[in-house]
Amino acid sequence: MLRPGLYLAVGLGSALGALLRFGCSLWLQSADNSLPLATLVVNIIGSFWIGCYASLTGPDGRWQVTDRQKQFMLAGVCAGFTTFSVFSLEFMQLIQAGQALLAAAYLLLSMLLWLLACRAGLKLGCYANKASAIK
Amino acid sequence: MSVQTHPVLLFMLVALAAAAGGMLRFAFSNIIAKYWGVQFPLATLLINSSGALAIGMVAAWLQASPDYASWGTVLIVGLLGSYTTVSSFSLQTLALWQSQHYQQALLNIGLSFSLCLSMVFAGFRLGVWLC
Repeated sequence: MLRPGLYLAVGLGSALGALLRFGCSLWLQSADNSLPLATLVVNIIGSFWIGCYASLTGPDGRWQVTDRQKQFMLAGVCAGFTTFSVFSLEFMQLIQAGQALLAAAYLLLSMLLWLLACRAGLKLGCYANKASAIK
Repeated sequence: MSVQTHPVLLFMLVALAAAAGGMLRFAFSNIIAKYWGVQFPLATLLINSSGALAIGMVAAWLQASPDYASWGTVLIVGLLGSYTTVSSFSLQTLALWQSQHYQQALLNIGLSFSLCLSMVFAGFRLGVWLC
């Protein structure tokens, strides 16, 4: 079952997310052999936002969205904005430059901050859902 | 395409490549979810590790032919950057954790990082050997 509209939404969202990420990487350029700040920031923001969006559009969320709108945001914008492959590449480049300690710090910071940001997003979304239920 | 590609053209090519990467990811994850089920996020794991392998190969190719830096940006920032995802990984890991599948959540974290980080080195080696 192929749904062209859904794929178009995902493609459009991914292009938008990737351009935003490209813009961030040009804006937050870090020096060679230092912590790759742009990718770290992008992945944290993307994890936070996917958490917010997922709980706001969940079963008792305050936002009612169509399947296409949901995939545009989740599989499109969020997934296109964040990137695991560039993170892996930057980790390898730090190792190759002899910066093993920095690479380890990048790995640990990423693992911790991605998951914490996503959790914070989920919590914030839940909080907003409850706030609207009282009203 | 030389190093002096017009920025607007580069942005357009990155956007096109990113759209392709995102749709490829969506197609793969639908196919894998259909045959595997959605309990453990195998699709995201396979997508991220195959993307890491490919990005390692591109990095080796770029090292051998630095004149193709613009194509490198299209492939790395556009296609592969968009194909792989951190946000889905984070959300799926937390979903496992919150539904008390603690072991699966930890397994997903361990497998994602160890596979992706070894795949990028493997891809680089493979790329150096091929170029």
